[in-house]
Amino acid sequence: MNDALRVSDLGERERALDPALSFIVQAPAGSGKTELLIQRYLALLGRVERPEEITAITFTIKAAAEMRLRVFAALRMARHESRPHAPHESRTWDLARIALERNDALGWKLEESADRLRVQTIDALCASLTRQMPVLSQFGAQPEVIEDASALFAEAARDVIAMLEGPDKPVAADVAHLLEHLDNDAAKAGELIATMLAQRDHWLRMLGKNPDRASLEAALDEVRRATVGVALLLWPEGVDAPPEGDVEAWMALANRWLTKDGKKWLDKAAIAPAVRERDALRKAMREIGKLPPARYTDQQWEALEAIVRLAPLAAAQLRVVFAKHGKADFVEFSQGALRALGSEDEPTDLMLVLDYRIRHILVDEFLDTSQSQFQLLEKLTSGWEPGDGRTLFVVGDPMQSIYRFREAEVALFLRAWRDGIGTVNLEPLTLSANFRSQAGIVDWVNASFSRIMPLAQDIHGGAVTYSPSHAVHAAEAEAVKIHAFFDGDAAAEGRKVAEVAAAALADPGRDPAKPASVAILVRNRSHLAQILPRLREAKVKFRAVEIESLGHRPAVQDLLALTRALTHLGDRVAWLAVLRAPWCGLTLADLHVLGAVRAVTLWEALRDGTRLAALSADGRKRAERTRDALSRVLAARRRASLRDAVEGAWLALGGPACVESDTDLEDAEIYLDHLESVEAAGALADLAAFEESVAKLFALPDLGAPDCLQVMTIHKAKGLEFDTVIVPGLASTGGKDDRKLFLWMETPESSLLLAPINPAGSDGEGIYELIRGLDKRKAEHEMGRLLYVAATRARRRLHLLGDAKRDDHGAAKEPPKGSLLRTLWQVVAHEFATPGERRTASYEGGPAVPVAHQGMLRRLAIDRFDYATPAAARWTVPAETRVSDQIEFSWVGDTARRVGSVVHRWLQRIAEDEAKGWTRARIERELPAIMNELTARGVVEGDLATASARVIAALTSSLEDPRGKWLLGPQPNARNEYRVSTVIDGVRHDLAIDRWWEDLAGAWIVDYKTSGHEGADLDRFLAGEEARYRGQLERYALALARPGARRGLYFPLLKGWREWT
Amino acid sequence: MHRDLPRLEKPELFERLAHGHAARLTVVTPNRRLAHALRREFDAAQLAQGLAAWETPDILPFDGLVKRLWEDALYCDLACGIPVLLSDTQEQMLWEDAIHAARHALPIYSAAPAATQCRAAWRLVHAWRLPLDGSGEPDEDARAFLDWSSRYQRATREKHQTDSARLPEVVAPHLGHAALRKPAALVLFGVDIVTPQIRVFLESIAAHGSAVMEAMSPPVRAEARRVELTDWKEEIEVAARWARSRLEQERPGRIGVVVPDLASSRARVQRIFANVMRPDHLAAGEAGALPFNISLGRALAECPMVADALLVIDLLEHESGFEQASRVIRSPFIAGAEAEMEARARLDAWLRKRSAPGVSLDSLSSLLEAPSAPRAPVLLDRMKRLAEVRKASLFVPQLASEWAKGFSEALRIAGFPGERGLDSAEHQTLDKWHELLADFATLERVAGKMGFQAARERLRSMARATVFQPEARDVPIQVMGILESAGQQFDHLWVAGLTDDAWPLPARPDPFIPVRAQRAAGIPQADPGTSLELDRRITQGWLGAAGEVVVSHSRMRKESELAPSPLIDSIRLSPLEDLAVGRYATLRGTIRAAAVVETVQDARAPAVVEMTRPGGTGLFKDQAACPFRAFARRRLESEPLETPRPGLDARDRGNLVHEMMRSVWGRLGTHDRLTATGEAALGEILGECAEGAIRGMRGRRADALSGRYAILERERLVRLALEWLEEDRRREAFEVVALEEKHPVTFGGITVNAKLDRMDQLAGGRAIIDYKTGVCKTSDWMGKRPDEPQLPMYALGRGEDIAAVAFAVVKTGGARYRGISRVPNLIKGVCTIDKDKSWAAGRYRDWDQLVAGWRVELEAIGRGFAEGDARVDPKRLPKTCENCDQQMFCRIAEKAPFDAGEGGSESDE
Ligand code: SF4
Repeated sequence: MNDALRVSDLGERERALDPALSFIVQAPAGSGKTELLIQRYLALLGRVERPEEITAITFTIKAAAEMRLRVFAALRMARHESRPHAPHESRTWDLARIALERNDALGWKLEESADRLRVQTIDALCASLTRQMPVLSQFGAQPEVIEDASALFAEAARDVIAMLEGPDKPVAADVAHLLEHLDNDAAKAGELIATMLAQRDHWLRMLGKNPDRASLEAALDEVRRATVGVALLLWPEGVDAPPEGDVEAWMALANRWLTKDGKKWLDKAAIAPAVRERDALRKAMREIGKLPPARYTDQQWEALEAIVRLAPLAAAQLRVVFAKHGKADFVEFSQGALRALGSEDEPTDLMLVLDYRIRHILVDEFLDTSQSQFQLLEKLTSGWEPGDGRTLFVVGDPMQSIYRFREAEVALFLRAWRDGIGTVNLEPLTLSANFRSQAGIVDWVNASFSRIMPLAQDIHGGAVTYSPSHAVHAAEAEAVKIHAFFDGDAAAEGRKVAEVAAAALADPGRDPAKPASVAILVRNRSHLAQILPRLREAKVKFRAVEIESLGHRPAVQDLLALTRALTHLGDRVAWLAVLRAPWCGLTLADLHVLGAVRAVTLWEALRDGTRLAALSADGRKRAERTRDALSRVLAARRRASLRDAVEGAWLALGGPACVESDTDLEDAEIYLDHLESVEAAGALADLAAFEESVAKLFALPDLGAPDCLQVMTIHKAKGLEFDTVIVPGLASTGGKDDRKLFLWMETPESSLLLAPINPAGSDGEGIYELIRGLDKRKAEHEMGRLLYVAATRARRRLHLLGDAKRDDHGAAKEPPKGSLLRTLWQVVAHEFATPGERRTASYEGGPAVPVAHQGMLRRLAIDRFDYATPAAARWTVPAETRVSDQIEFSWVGDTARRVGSVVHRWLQRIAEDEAKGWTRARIERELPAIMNELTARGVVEGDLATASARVIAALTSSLEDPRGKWLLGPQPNARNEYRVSTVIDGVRHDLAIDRWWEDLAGAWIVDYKTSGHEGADLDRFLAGEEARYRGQLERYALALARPGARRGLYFPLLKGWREWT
Repeated sequence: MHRDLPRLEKPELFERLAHGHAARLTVVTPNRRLAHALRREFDAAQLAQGLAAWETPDILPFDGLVKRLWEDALYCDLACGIPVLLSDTQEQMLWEDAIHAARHALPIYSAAPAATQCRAAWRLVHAWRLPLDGSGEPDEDARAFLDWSSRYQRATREKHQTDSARLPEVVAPHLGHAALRKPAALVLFGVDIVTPQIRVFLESIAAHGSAVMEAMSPPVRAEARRVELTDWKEEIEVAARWARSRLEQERPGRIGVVVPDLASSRARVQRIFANVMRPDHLAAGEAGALPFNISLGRALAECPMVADALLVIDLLEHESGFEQASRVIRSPFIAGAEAEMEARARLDAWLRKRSAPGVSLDSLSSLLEAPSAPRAPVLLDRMKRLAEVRKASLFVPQLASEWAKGFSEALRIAGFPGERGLDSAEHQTLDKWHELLADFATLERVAGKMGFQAARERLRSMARATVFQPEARDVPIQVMGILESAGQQFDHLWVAGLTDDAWPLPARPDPFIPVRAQRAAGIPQADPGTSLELDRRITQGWLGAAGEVVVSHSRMRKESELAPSPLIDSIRLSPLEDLAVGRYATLRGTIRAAAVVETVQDARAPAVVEMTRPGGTGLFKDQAACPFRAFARRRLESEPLETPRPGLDARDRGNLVHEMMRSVWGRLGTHDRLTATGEAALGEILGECAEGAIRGMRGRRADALSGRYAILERERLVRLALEWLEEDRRREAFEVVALEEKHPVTFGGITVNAKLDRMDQLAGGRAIIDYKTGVCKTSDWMGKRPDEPQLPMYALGRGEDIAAVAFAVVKTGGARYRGISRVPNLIKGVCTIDKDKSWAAGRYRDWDQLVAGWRVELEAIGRGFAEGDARVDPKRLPKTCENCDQQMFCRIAEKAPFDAGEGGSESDE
């Protein structure tokens, strides 16, 4: 960035720092928007009362961390270093300097409390709002966030379907209607409702408006007319057209003129040449031909009504489910935050809640905003007026909006560009300087994407026009290269990727001091199936970020088998898998010996001597080894966590010796960590759900590999840059889109159109298809943007690889719909012009398992497998600590124990008074107090009378018993409830001696025991008690250093006494 | 007043404590842990003096002192005037009641967590003596709290109850009473924040003659070091290795490790430390002593024993989920769990195929008594007795104490806690569980009678809220959170996790109290400035708390880069080598290094001896799809466990349709009958058939086929059949000559039963028809290893003259025939092989060649099975494997790239 002259948009950049104005900034790839955000943040810091008044919102946690680090770096630089020379650096330095002065003057201590910089994701912002407003958000208390709430969506959906049998008749009727519509397939209905719940962010607000049939049909009419309008615009002069308002006539015409699929004109003779030569008009007519009727059928309408009533109900049920689990997803948090911020008429006064006002909001990646996030911004800025010192600053590049699947709506950016947000007017600014890519790439991108992206912006259709960039960096050779392949030659394409990657790694980077960075970007993970093996073959090391799913790794499968086997002895597949896994490695013949009889579990078979005897000699050794390792774990089952049990078994079996590489050990660790996060109380509540979640795990990137070569999805790469970018697999298509319970769209006039899912067996028609078609077009627009994101990641070189099928003449055919190559075709078709021989594809399905692997049994060579257990820490294990002597009553039950402690407490008191003034009458007067104490100790109402009677009986009888009188009466040097600590034979004891005293004649050590005894043979009982407590009194004597003291046990309830020395 | 208190240095304090009880010295600490630590230190000092026994010093947390004084008041003439102290559980319940009572004005989703939060605010209000009168511009949330707390306060006042938040104010007026034993000297130890409540209380105790003093540990002069690690895991692991290095020194002394946010990482920290201290502790299987202790417990409900006790109680519900019941059946904590362990596993697997998703004690018992059920007599006996208890007592609302008794009784009958010996932790857990039940019983003081569900839910949430840590030995290494570390001293201290976003802690004002009021009162957490001050003091405390102090932070969390906390970043960064941290072999690494792996060929199982196999043509289908699959399923009976799910699954629905079609054609018999039957009559027949089909399945799935759903399903069956009969009506005349017929067939020596859905006699021969409710293709019969061998097997095995084979696709909006016939135009939708559009049809010239091809293929498949061919050779990768339940057994992932659709991957080949 040494050439300031080439920066084409300095004026815009400077303007964006005006802290009094609000802006919306379109910042194309490589335009350095983060720097701009930081500069603005610093500029604002220099003006606010408290740093918390500025809220910056980023799209990812990582981006928040980065922005924060960079702000601090700027502050540190301004504090400790002198003003740099480069113009943009000195600008940052100046701004930071002013911010620092403010910080010092107002005592913010920013540099010490990072948290005062409110730079966070929108989710974190919502969470902080709901945390601060538990009542307004109606959460009551902050729930736990879950990223993947699909299990709870499913639960809520099941609840809704169960309402079919519930007492609420209208609701039951709606559910019945829905089921009927879906061929009574309750499972399918459940899935659809669950999916709908996941997207409730979109429709909750919409359905809140209670759409009625008339307005919906009006919207439908509007759409129909608009479709005709497109054709009318293209209609040639002088050819007769049906009347503009007669949609039916247009539809009839379209059906007459076009083939069924709308791809060709049908009745060529009857159609004017002026019409026929306009292909755009054919396309427009095709759309007309597909238009639905003007009204909902009754069947559609009834289904829609039922769905529209059930949807909010399902959302409410979801909240109940969330509350039950104490969890919530991000959407719920943003809904909570919206509730907390109050209604339009009665906004919550955040000043009261937070004790400061939010005065400035900065939003990065504004293009990824969802509906409720947009609403949140509207509410946060409600009442803001121009010039009141509060500003909103949103930045993003609508050309990079690629998160439709996560509910991001590019239309929101476009609308904000046009209308501002809420009451805030936004001044639009467009950046154009590209600091990232060399001119060769920028030029190619400009030339290509101005053709690929739509010419006209369309907010509702999600169409974004292209905004060109100007390169700051000079052009270099070989900027963009297209590699063409033909007829599904994935292997060749894979080899090429490896070759290009290796060459790019060898090429020096822009900064010669650093190694070149290379990225392979794909649209779907599955596109890598042919590429990663080629890289490994070529010994090119790479880091794959969230690319490789773990679920099918052998190491993980083995652990899963072990988990299942340990949780259920009757899980036959899992047990057979454990016996076949490398740590055991039984042959088919041996497995047949153990497993041929179904009536016993394999675990029983493993311990059956006759069966073991029938095994091969080697098999027997293996089986016994496995049995021994597992029997230890099973004996202790459900003691430790399941994870520990599984890991313990895995280690004991030699699991780590069975993996193929060290990376597998990492995978194992990820699996085990995941197991731990899912299990509860040492068990798995839902095994099937657990297995599904395992399938969603990703392997960690190979941390041993340098990060020069990275493999990731295009989505993941957003915001990153590399010297060389390789985009393979352009010809592959995306996954199919799933049906939804209902679809919705907003018409250009902002009215709402809804369509219920088509009933089972009648796909492909009606309003549903109309809206779906629109969604598909939005998806197509997004593909162009996805390609743009991929292409603009490159600093110096861009490689695009695609594969085209050839027709019988050897010419490349247009790539399949839904592929990136199709989107790119108009730009690159000429690269595929080389004619060639068509390859014939084979049909007998996919690749087979290589013959050598079909019977392969990979296993530990147990005869040679041996290791020495690593040493444990050397330390002196202390004896069991702090034996407390006061647990003696635990066997008699709670009430008795409580009676005992109350009696003890009173005896202590009486003995302290040397029994003076204590009489039966006085004790009886204490009844209310005694009851109070028993209550306080937790004696329940029903037992209170008996318990207090027992206390009184114990106390009065000790007062009236001569032995008791002697014991509690005056004694020399007496101590009550005497607490002593001691160490006997290395064991520490905390003692509490009920009573002891000492005179010239010697010492007495006495404990009270409130045991009761019914029936005969009191003496024997007391003898038993003595035996029981001898050791305890022995310890007392030792601790008091009075080995010769007389020991006594006093039983007030029994008036019993034992003494000995 | 705090800072002006007379100060004692620790040696002086110990000296005074050594004088014993006569000195009447009491030490109060901010929390139990510090009291414990100080006590321990004192004991060590006494031991070092050569003493064998000494008077136990009086060291307790501030709350403990107040509570003791309150108890003193209970044992004197004040007793009746003193309010009863609510337990935590009771307090929680009263708050929940208050929130519930206000629910119309203040709707919130869950009262329990809100109540917990209220209690925290309530403590804060009293500790900082904040007004509760609506002053200080309360926001909505604060106003809600005012509402709830006034309800709560009223309720407790009426019943003459108090809570620990208010106890100091309850006790203080009576401090003058002789029965309240006040110390001669009261020493504050490590009390960093003296709240106004404490201050006032101390003032009044001082006014009654106690000399109040303050003691501190003198800061140790230490050189602190700072280290940076890659991520959290590495950080904790290095800290653990460091601790081990210090432990193995000559005189280890006390070693402390502070881990912020320990509550959420307890288990992980525990494991990392255990692995470092005793690498084989997991594999060895028994819990030996470990040299460290983690200061945090876990929720009682998380202890397996308690979780299972709660599940047993759940079983008393009129219906509970099968999975819960299954966990009880397999629980080691009930009677007969060891003796019947294997039997119960078999029983459970058996139940899974038969049980409804919801079960009751009665339904379980009757299933358990079925003749084919694996026997587990002890279990059956206990289940039946539990069912009795349920009937006898659990329907009426009762007092909490009665529920407690009822639950205990139920657990006793279940044989809880089982016949396996309890280890020390389990013993303590059991005690704690009993305490919990007793605590639960006392809820009767604040709540009236409750129903079963309310009682059970309350008990469960109490178990969740009770954090419990089995007591451990006195060990040299203490791992603790930030709070617990305050005031403690060590010989070596490591403070981990000090990144800038974690430390200083962000200010967190309480949401229920106006922020202004909190700031005005000086509550440190309420304001960034004071909060920073507090954390700075804590940091200083660490730096002076041991002779060796290490602070650490990690560089990355997931993908985010982190910076060190500004409170420690001035400490010089040391390279890790300077720390003298030992390297210790891990068990995992040792085992991995010892790996010796061999590869052998093993593709053939012993040949089949019993040539007549149970089950139908599925064996051939499996063998065709993948020989290993057939071996696993058909010879080892390898199958996963089933899970009873609510509602009908695709298979059930398919079975209903089959049954429907069978009975419909059973009644109609011929095409003539069909065309001759009037609409009304037909409707009647279909209605009856649908009814019959549903009745047939209801025996097994009563849960899914009752009520309104059954009506809907009946309607669907009728609709489907009507649509289908339209298709049949359009055909030429035919007669149905066989329905659901079974018939043994032999190929390659293997005999199985082939079953057909229906056979029609047409003018030109017989047609075999197979109903399908899903996707099907004629190519499934063609080529090598056919996907659907059933019809060909039947057709060949029948030995008759078959003119056509066809799928009858019965689904809404898609009813039609698809198939192949010998001659054209036998059935609409069924064509001759040369007209068939599937890609495989090109292999066959005509019908005879097709049939001959079938024979060759089927013979080969049968022979393969008979000979024990068990190669892992799925017909199509990955499709064949995608829905196969043997993946973990056949180890396909090891043998071939396996890419399962979305988010799929490839393997390491
Ligand atoms: S998963 Fe595939 S390879 Fe394994 S048994 Fe099943 S079909 Fe065969």
